[in-house]
Amino acid sequence: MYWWVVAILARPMSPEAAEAAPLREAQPQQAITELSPVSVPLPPLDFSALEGDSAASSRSVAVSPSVQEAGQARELLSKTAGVQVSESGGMGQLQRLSVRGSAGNAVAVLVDGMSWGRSGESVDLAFLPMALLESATLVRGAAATRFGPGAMAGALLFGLAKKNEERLFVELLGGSFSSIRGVVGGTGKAGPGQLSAWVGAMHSDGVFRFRFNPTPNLPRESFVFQKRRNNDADKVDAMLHYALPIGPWQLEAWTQMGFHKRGLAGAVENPSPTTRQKSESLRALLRAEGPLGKNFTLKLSGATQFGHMLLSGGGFAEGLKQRESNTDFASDFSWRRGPHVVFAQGNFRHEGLVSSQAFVSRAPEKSTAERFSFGGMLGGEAWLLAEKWALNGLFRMDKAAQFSSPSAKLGSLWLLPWGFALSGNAGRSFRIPSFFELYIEQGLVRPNPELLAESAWSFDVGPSWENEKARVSLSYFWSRFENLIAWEYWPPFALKPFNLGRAHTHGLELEASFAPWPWLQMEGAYTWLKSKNLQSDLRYEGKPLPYRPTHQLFARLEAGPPWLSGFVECHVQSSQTRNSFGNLSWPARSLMNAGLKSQLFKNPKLQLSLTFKNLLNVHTQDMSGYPLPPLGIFFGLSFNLDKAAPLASSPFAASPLPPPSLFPQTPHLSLENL
Amino acid sequence: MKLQPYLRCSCLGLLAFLFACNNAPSTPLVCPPDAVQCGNHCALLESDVDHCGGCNQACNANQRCVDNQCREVHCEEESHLYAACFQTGQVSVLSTCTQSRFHMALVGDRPQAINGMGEVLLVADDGTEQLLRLNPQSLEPIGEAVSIGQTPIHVSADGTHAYVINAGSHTLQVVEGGSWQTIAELPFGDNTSPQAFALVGKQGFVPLYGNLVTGETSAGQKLVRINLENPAAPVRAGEVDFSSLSIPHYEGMAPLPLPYDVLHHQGALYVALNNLNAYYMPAGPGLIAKVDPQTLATSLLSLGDTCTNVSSLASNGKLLAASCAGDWGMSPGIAGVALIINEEVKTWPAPPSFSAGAMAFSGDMLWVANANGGDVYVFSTKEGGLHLLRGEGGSEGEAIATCPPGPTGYTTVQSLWLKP
Repeated sequence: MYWWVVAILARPMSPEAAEAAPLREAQPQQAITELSPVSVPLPPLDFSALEGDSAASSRSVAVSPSVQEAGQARELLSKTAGVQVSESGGMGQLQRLSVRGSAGNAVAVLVDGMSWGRSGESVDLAFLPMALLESATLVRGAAATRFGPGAMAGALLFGLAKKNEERLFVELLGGSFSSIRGVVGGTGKAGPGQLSAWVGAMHSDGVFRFRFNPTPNLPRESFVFQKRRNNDADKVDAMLHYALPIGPWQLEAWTQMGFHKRGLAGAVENPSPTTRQKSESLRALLRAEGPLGKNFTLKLSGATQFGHMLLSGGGFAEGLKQRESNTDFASDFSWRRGPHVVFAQGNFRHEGLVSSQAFVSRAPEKSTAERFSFGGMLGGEAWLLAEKWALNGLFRMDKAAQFSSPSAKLGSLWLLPWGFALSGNAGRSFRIPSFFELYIEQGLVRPNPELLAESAWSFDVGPSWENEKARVSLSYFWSRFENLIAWEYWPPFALKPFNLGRAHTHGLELEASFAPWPWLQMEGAYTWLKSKNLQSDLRYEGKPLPYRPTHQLFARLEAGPPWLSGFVECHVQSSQTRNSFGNLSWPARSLMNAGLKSQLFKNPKLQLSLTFKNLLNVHTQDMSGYPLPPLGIFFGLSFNLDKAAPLASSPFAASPLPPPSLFPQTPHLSLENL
Repeated sequence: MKLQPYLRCSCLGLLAFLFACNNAPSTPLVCPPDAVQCGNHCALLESDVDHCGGCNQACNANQRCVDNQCREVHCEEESHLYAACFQTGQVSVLSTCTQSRFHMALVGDRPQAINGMGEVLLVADDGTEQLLRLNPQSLEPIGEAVSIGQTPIHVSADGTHAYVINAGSHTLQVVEGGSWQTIAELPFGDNTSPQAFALVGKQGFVPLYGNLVTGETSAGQKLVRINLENPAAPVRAGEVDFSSLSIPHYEGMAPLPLPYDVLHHQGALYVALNNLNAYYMPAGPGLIAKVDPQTLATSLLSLGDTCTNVSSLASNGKLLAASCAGDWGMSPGIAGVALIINEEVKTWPAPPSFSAGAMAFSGDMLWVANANGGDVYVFSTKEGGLHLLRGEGGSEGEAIATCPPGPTGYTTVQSLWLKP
């Protein structure tokens, strides 16, 4: 029975936890020794996703072991409290992340420590190579300060699917909206190191029927059904990863290529049948990590990104092009003695962007921007009172072009008896304006080089409790934002950013999970969010920020043995205002997903799945004029062949809690408004 | 390792340092520099009849506030001109007698179109998507608002119904005056972007602009005729397709007619054609289309190269005026105002940075809003010419400050309406 205990305790909660143990039984020719059950204390509710910050308000979720369930960042992150993902509707289309009521550009996104995108811009989650990722850790509030300018409200850390065992896998998913998604990959020894390679691809026509009311102001509703067109998306991502141990040091290198093209359907009142977007990207990272003496560790990293994007069709006529290149260097130093740690970091970043427009317009034919950023950070954590109380803090100073600002964070975690804990964090963070806000003229966008950086003060506090079968956490958060940048009309026919906004958000986050048996898992997340516009304008002052629902609830139930299991989950959202004046709103909604999964063989593992997305066929939207897809049905096939058992001591063992990214922070045109 | 004492001191120092670095400037209130806030209003104490010399110090009905004092003013005739201040949520009221702003009030979020219906002022607000009824004297709301669509760019009324053009939702919305309920909504279709409305008897005429942002210009370039015999059931009854006309243009330019305004004048319909290219630049001379409301026969009237990008039209029954936005104030010499008398055109060239917008006639006086600023120019059209009275180079002084700057420093007078 012991493997049940270990499987449950070896969180995160995912079907893999229950499925991993049977693989041990497949190991041939080994003497089996029965051991007494061992209670393995877990990190308190996945708080401690960050080295030297046990109090961080964070939540780790495993990217679904297959593309079948998650596939898109929205489905993954919606399970976490304090998060809101809005999308323009359709696989591969725009997805934006808001943390604790922030704007999308206040959340930094990092993949294996590399900043994904330019500093100060919101990241379109649709561009993430989900098929190549294994884990996601959302860091909320002040704890995200360590990730530099850009992580003003939070940071989303993705871990690559680096495996240290030899395996081959193929996964396919297909279904509604002519969608097909797949990934093929393998890992194995290559010389003295470990080589991994993956290729993931996705295609979706994005054609779906949606309800539209052409006469919205008549007292009686009269809906017609229309088809969403020019909403297709194609994506290919490929990655090579090599890990090489050299004595006590570890060298790691990976390169990732992405190709993405999609139609930009536009709002339903003003659809565009011809506007298209195409982008290519190339990223590479080299990292070395190893000990310097007994208690010291040094990590050196270098990364570079190149990207190209083209907008064509519609109002872009002959095309609008954008080329970018980013280079990052960082050195991380840490000292450990027992549970105590002190860390320091120095980092450098260069960003460059060239935007060119092949048509005659008011904006210059070519617009360029370049920026150098430097940063330094010092922090640490001490465990006191017989290692029951952790006190941590960090201070960093960043300079990016004309902006220089400090940021800092203090945190505390108190481990109490009977599985209880109490944690709290407070800090100040900021976001430097993006290239488009400062320098780049492109299409209908005019820059404003006189912008100030946005800033935020925040704190959170709350208790948690856990035992071997359940976890509960409750957190109260508060944030105040200053100098928020909003886009306003600027003649003729352009938009220009200004530091107009001040806002305040606060609320509660409740997360719980319960797995009384290996075949039954329940989890839920509830967010209560209140926002207030503090802009000194009688029209808006004191009113809630638009697109921030007060209540969000996620609940999921998964049950069954590996040979046949099912899940049902629901996402409930209360009504939300959709304008700053506060008189227009969208109604509340409930979206439900459900599915069945059957594992036919253990090794090789063959799994079939059937998933229903938006089971109740709710017609709704996240952004005005952008309907979300109706009911979708997807069939999945997953094949995994593991040649050998996982290596026990490899430092590159797959972990749902990736090491912290210490790179400072960073899409295409995005307009963030209050 | 004892960390607590060090942490205690460094924490306080750290917080003090960080707080000192928070040097956020506050957002300015939306009142002009020469105004003070009285309740929900920005009051010009030297000229506001409700706050003359001080908040809530009101003048009598036959008085005006001049130099902070209530004084009796005698004019042969006086009208009130209402201006929608889109950037600040206010409506400003000008006196044609004193040629000054004497009242201003916060009415909503983004007032976009103004008109009157009986003794009630109608204001269509883009930010709140509401059609408001206001008391023309106090600018206080009367009754409930009616929900309207996106970008309510035009509102007009006959004695019994109000007609709202929702440019963003692409509909004509009919509101019954008695019940103040929407009784009809006519959709024009995706990307059509209707811009204005003219009522001729029981027929309505709506210019469809099309959509340059999405590239779907073919959805517009039309003037649609609507049968309003039964206002509760409007029906399309014919159209003019301007793209089938031979549009005069400059060499190398691909012109788009882009009908922007429509007006009934001396038995004919006059349609302002922007005549731009796909990037909002003037592609040819200023153009007005003259359309027979019955036969829809169409001819073009050129305003020449000094009056391009015709955007608004106004009529006093005898004279037809056109505002020419030119290159939106970015190029000199091609913007201004035109007066059309028996199809003879007289133009007034605008100074740099002036972009002529909404217009209204009061007798022989023509009031023209500056779309690039918050002021109103005043012309005299006596003797069949255009003589600038108020504005840069005007014989009687500067332009009339009408709309205060918004939080970004920019402002515009979005709409003008003269209450008879």
